[in-house]
Amino acid sequence: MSALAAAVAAGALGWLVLGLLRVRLRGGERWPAALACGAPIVTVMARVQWEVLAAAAAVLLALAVWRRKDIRVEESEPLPRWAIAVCAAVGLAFGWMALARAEVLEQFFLLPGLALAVLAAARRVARPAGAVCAALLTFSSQALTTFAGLDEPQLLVAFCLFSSCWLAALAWQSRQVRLLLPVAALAIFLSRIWTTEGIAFGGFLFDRLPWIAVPFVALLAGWAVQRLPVWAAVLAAFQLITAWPPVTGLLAPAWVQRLPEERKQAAQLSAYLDEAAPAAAFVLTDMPLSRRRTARHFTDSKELLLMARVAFDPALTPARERRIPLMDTPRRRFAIEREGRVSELRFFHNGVELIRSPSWKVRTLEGEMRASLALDNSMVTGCDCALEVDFGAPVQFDEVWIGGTGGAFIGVPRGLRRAAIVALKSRGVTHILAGESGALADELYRNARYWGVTEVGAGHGAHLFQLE
Amino acid sequence: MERTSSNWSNAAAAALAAVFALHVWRAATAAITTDEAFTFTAFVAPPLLQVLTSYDANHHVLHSLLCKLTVALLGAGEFTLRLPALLGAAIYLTGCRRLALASFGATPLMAATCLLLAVHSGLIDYFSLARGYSLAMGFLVWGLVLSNEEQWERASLCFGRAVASNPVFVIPAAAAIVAALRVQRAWRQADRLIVPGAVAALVVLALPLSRATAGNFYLGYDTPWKSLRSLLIFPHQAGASAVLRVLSPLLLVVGMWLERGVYSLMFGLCVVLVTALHEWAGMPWPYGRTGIYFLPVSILLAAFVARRFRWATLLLVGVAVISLVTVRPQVYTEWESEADSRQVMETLRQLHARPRVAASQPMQFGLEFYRATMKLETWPPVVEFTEGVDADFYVISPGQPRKGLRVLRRFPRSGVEILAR
Repeated sequence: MSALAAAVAAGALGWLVLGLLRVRLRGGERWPAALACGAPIVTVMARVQWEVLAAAAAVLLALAVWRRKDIRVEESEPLPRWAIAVCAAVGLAFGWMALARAEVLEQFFLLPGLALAVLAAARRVARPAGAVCAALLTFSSQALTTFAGLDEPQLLVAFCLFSSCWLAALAWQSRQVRLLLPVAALAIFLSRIWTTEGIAFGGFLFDRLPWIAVPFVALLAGWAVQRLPVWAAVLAAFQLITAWPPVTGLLAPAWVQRLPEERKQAAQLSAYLDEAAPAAAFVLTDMPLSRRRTARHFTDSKELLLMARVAFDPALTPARERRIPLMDTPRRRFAIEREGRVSELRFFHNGVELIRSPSWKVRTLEGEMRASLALDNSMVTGCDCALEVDFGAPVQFDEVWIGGTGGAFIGVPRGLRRAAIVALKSRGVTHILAGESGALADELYRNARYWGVTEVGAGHGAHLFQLE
Repeated sequence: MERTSSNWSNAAAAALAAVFALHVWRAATAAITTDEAFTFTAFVAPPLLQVLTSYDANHHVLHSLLCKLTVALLGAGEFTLRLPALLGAAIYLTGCRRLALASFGATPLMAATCLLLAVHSGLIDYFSLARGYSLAMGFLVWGLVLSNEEQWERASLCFGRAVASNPVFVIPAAAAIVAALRVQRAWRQADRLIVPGAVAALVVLALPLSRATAGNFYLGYDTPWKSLRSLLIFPHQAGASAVLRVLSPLLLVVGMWLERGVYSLMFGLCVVLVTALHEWAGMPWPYGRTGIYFLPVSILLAAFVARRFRWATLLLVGVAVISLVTVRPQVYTEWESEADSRQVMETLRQLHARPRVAASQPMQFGLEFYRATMKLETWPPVVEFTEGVDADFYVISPGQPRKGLRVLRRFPRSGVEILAR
C-alpha cells in the first residue's frame, strides 16, 4: 500500500509542480515528467508512516485533478492503438512477474515511469515502432527489473539521470527555459544519491552494458529501428523472450543464479561489519559487501588482495631469481622481457647494489601497468610485465638481479607474510574480512602468528582479522 | 561479340561448377580434422541448450546450428557435418560470379577473377571444411553484391549472417557497410544497411557470446608480419610464396589506386579495425584463416590492375594455376597429419576388438570423432599420448619420439604411424 501511495503522491506532486511552471508538453509526456519531478521528493518522504503518505497522496491527487489543466497540452499524433495494446500487455505480464519476485515494492513505480519517459523521449525523435521498441526494451531490461524490487538506489539513479537528460533536451528543443528548474533539482538530487555500484544480470541484449546506460541505449536502438518495424518487432521479441524470468533462469550464466544469495549475504555481512569493526577501520575484503548497508570504509582492491596472496600462493610467491651478467659499460636505459612476475629488480656494480635514485623512471612495455612496484623494495608487490628502467643519466652496472616467479628456484623469502601485512598497513588497511571458503581466511587463521593478525570476529561465512 | 561475352560468362560458370564438384568430393572423402572434430564434440553433438550457452573461438554459431540440423536429419559423419560448408561454398561461388560480372563484365578477366576467387590456396580448403568460414565468406560476398545493387536490407541480412556464421567477420562486414555507404553516398540508408543484419546477428550470437571471455579470442599472431606471411603462402612452395609476398602488396596498392571505390575503402577499413582491436582490446593479429576475408578483397583489387594492364590477367591465372597444383585433394593443408584418421581407426578396428589408444596431440579429437560415428562407443576413449601413458596402440604424428615402440603400420600420406610396445 505504501508503494501505491508513493507512486500516486509522486505523480500528483510532480503534476502540480509542472502546472505551477506552466509548461507545455505533449499528452504522453505529462505523466513521466510529473513522476520525474515528484519522485525525488517522495523518495525522501518515503520514510514516514504509510498512513501519512497515503493521506498526503490523497490530498495531492485531489489537488492535481483540480489543477489538471495547468499543464498546457501540445498537439501531437497519438500513439497507434496497436502500440498501446502491446505496451499494456507487456507491462502487465512483466510487471506481474517482477512484482512477484520483488523483495520490496516502494520503488517499483519508477520502472514504468522510466519506460514511459523513454517512450516520451523516443516519440520526439522516432516513429511509433521505434518508440515502442525503446520503451519495451527498457521496461523488460533484466538489470532494471531486478533493481526495481530491491531496497537499493540504482533504479532511482537511472530514472533521475534519464529524466534530467530528457527534460533538458526537451527544454532546449521546445525553448522552455522553465523546464530547466526541475532539471536542476533532479541534478542536485542525483548528486546526493549517485552510485554506479550494483551487480545485476544485464540480459543478453544489454550484456556487459552498465545498467545506468540501458535507457539511453534502448532509446538509441529505438531510433535506429524506427523505419524498420519488422526488425523493431524482432528486437523487442528477442528481448522479451529472453528476459522472461523462467527463460532467463534457463539460459543465464551460473553466476546469475547465485546473485540473490550473494546479495543477501552481502547485506548481512555489511551489517555484521558495522557491529564487529571499529568506526575508523579500513577493511580489505574478498567478499561482496554493500556500501549502502555499512558505515565502515572497505575495499576489495585486487591489487591489495594480491599482496596478501603473494605471501602464500605457490604460483605467486617470489621464490625464484634471474641474474643477468652484463658488460661493465654505462647505460641510460635497461629493459627486461616478460618472464613471470617481477617482485624486485636490483642493479649491481662489482657486487655492490646501486642505490636507487628518484630520477629513475620505470615503465611497462607489455603486461600489467604496475612496473613501479618492481622497484619499491617490497617482495610482496610486483608486476607481471616487461618493463624498462630509465636511469635519467648513464649508469654503470654489470649485473641485474630479478626476484620473482621466473628463473632459478632459490626458496621462498623469509618474512613474506609479515611483509604483506606491513605493505597493507602502509596503505591504510586495518582489518581483513576473508570468506571462510577461501584460501586467504584459512591461511590467516592457521598462520596468524606469522602474519601478525588477530581474529576479532566471525559470522555470515566470513572471518574478521585485525592487523597488529 | 555478345556470343563471345556470354561464352566467357558460361566458361566461368562451368569452372565454378567444377570447383564446387571438387569441394563436394573432398567433403565426402577427406578425413575429419581436429577443428571439425572439436566442433562436432563441443557444439554439434551436445544438447541444443548447451550449444547455445557455451562459447569458444571454435564456435561458429550459425554454422554449428546448421551442422546440428544436418547431423540430426542425416546422421553423424564427415559429409553430413560438412554440408553447411558446402552450402556456403555454393553461396560464395555464385556470389563471386555475380560480383565479377558486375565489376568486369563477361570478359576473360571476369573468368580469371572468378577462377582465382574460387581456387586460391588460402581459401580453397575452407569451402569443404566443417567450419563457418565458407558460409561467412559466401554471405559476405553476397552482401557486397546486394549493396552494389542498392538492395540494402537484403545486403544487411547477408552481412549479419556472415557475422553469425563466424564472429571474426564482424570486421569485414562493418568495413563493407561503411564503404558502401560512403562510396554510394547512401548515408540515409544507413539504418537499412545496418539494422537488419545487426539484429539478425545479435539474435544468433547473444546467448553464446554471453559466455565469452577475453581468453576465448586466443588465435592469432603477435606481429602483423607473421600474420601477413600466413595469408600469402602457397603450401610447400617456398619460392612461389616468396614471389607472392613481393607481388601482392604492389598489386594491392596499385589496385586500390585504380579502383578507389568500395573494395579499396573496405580493405583499408579492415586493416584499421584489425589494428585498433589489437592496440585497444589486445586481440592478436589474424592467423591465416582468421584473416581470410582479406583474400577475396585483395583478389578483386588485383583484378582492377588487370583491367588496366591486360598482362596482369596472366598473373591472376598463374596464381590460380599454382593454387590448383598445390591442392592435395584429400588433404587439408593445415591438418596434414590427420589426413588418414579414418584409415587409422579402421586399421585399429581390425587389430583389436576394444583397444586402448593413445594419440599425439591433437589427433585424439579426430579419432574420438570416428569412435562416435563408427559406433565404437564400447572402446575406451582415445587419450593424449604423453610420457608414461599406457595403451595397446599409439598413434603418433611425424617427428614425435617413439622410444620403445615398434611400428605396426605407417600411412605415407600423412606420415602417421600406429605403434605398439
